[in-house]
Amino acid sequence: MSNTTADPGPRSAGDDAILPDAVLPDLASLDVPKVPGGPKAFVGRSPGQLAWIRLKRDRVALASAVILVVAMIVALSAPLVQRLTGISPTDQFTDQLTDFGALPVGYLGGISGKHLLGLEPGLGRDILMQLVYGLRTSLFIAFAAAAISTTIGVLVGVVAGYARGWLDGVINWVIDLALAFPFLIFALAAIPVVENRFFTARDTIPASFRVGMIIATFAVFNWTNTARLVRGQVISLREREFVEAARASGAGTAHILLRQLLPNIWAPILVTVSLNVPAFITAEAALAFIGIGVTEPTPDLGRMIYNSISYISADPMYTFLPGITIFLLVLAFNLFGDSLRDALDPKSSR
Amino acid sequence: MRLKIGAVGVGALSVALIASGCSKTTNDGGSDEKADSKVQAGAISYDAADNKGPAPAVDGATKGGTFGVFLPDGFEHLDPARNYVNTQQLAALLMGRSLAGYREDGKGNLKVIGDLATDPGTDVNKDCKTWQFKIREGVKYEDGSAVTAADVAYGVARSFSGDLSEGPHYIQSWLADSDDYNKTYKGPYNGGGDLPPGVTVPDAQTIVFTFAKPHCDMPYAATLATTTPIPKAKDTKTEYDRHPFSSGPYKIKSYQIGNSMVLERNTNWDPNTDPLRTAYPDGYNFTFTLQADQIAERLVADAPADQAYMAWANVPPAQLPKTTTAGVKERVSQGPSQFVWYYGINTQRIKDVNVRRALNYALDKDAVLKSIGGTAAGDIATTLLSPTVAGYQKYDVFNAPATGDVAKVKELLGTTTPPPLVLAYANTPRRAAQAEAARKSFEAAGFKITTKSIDPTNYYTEIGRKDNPYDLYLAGWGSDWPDAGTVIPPLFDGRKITPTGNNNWSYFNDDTVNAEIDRIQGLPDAAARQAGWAALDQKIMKDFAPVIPVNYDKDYMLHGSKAGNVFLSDAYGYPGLTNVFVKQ
Repeated sequence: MSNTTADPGPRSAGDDAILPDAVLPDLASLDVPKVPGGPKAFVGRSPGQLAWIRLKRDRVALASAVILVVAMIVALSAPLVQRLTGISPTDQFTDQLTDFGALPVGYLGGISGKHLLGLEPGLGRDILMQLVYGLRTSLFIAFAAAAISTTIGVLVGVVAGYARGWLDGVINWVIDLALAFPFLIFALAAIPVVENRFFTARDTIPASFRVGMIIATFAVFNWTNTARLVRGQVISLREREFVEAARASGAGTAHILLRQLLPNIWAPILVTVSLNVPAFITAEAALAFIGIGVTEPTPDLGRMIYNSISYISADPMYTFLPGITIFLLVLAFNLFGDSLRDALDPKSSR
Repeated sequence: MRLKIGAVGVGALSVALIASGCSKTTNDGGSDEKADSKVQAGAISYDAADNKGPAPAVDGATKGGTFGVFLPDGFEHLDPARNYVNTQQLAALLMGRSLAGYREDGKGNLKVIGDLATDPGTDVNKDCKTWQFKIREGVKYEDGSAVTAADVAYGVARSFSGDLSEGPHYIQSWLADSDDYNKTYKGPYNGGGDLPPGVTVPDAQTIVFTFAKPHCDMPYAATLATTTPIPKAKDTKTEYDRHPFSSGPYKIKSYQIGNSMVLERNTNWDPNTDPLRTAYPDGYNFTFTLQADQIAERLVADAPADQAYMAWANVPPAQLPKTTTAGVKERVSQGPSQFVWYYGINTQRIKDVNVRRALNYALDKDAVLKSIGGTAAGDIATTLLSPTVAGYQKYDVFNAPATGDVAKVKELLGTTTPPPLVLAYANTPRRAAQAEAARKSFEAAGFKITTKSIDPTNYYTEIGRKDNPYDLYLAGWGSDWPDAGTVIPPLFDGRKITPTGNNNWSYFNDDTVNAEIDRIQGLPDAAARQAGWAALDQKIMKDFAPVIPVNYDKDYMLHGSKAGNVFLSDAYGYPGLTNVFVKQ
């Protein structure tokens, strides 16, 4: 039950009294505006502001943030894109496929003024619309799963870290148990069984149910990391003077947990979230490869890549477009997550 | 016979991102063979010259070398009693000889002649009820012992066993005079004798089958592996799959199930006793471990080690463009097979014939065919019978365009709202795409469709259950021999419906159709039977529309540059092995 997570040290939003010593050298070296020839002017900034300043200076963070914002806007405005192009993601333009082999007619996988990114071979669906709606599916699943698993993880972690004794023991045991489950095998076994439990063979299974199942499966398996991280943080913080002080002045457990401890650990949580999201995007794509991802006709990036792989030489654009989309998305999230960690936790920066 | 539903898998990703993406794709087609609707001329030949060994030599063929086959799935069964899949049947021809067999020359001539027997069966009393076969002299097993008529009878007897039920059941049902063929006689394992009912063995070279009803198709049924001789002493029951005792020109050298099989010469085989097999190669290699795209890529590349190999797998749509270039397209065997793909409409649920007709109008067959590769995978179907079946007549009772006719659907349905329908499909990428194409076109015509995926290995089991919960599902069927008598009765005879294992996927049962099936089967004249089946085909679609014919299946298979005399067998759909050779 040792605390194995790296401890970035306590920080508090907007409470100068407990500003950790470790931050001070950084403050002097990094965040003080240097006026050539003039006297040094000290400006008081909160750690949050400092992090924000560091983040803004990071060009990698800026570039990846732009990609992410664009992706999110596109995903959110998918129906708008549909209205603009007048093409639904499930529309099939089979008249623009060859009779032999059913490949899109024209250059680069059927790219034309009407179909900006070409058509899928076989079904003849518009790749742009598939990507736009696929992005929506991927991002929704990833964000929802990250939000749920982080919420569970934080709550469980705070309770376990603060509780000590048997409750901590039990929670740790549950975490170990959850970690011992192989994720893919569980998903493969659980998703069809649960579907059969709630739907008969003739019921329409709404697309949202499968999406919900995937989110739930991710959440069930990924809260443990956050919980362990948070527990470790809380254990290292709970003996600090400011907690003692709060307790001495008569604060209740809820106040200590939510107002004293939680604000001090939000930075590592934020980093965890930013790294969980791309992990979920790739995991969701991986589910498509074992046939338990999002099903037709809901557009999905993972399934699109899976279907396109065999076309890599016949219609490379079909493989390339969803591949580069998911690649950029995951790369941007990962780089942004790294930058965020660097900004929030200067000790670990280069 | 059935066709595997999940025939195309996705294998390892090969990094071959070539510059083809920058060239323009045009729709002038890669298929050279445009008018490829050939009709099988299934003649039964009693001509002494045809029935005499050795088999006619193949032009330019040379002896020696090892011939190879790539196929994506292992054989489930090589036991003659359990062999009902075309790849297994073709492979089994190398190791086992049944009473009759098909002689093909690759130019569309198909003759049924005697294989083990001296002719394709003598109709003793000219009433198709008593069939006598004379076993050739000098046919030997791999250990040098002689093949006797009693061994053929024993092979038929053991095929009655419930443990070996996977094979065809024509001869068994005819002998027992019941579709429930092993109700009384259950084969030699379960207390029965070594001779099934109705079979007599007057001497070591003669076997006689006596049926209660006339069965004029006996020469065709005798080509099935059911009549392969098996000596009782060599019968290992369910283990026989691992090592069939060879009566053909080759025997098993090594066999790792699901991985590879190597055949070597059976030195006791005498070419003068065999009118069907030239047996040019010294041996055969079967490799079961490659996926369809890997097979296609290796054969397109034609590396020296693969040049004497051929594929028993259709080229996946994604690989098709590579097969149209010079140097590759000469090595493609393509043409129609005897299989037809249908959407079965569950008539237990959809009782209104107008709804079934509307479904026929609604389906965009063009889109459904394109989703699996377009004209390389098949041609749009309008009939129940395949163009390869003798007596096939082209017709289209709906005359809808290939992309469907939404206006006609609206007209047929009028004010009635169609019930919500469930479309089931085998969960492979190919079938999922096809189901999506079908769903889209049904919905465009106003139907409400729910799609359900089924594990591909259970697919036929699921849709073959009488109380299955689905309304529409794709199924493929091919004739066991080029006669509609092996298509319409198994698919549309309502009296054959059982709780499980059905091939009548629409659960269609109509007394007039059943009576007509009986009437046609009783006709003594082959031409009259053929005309009868063709008329019944049209009547079923016109009056009942229990299925939606989707496409006539087409094969498109590659072989290496040193594989000689490779052509699609009209009888089995895939390229055969008995007369191939390795180019030196």
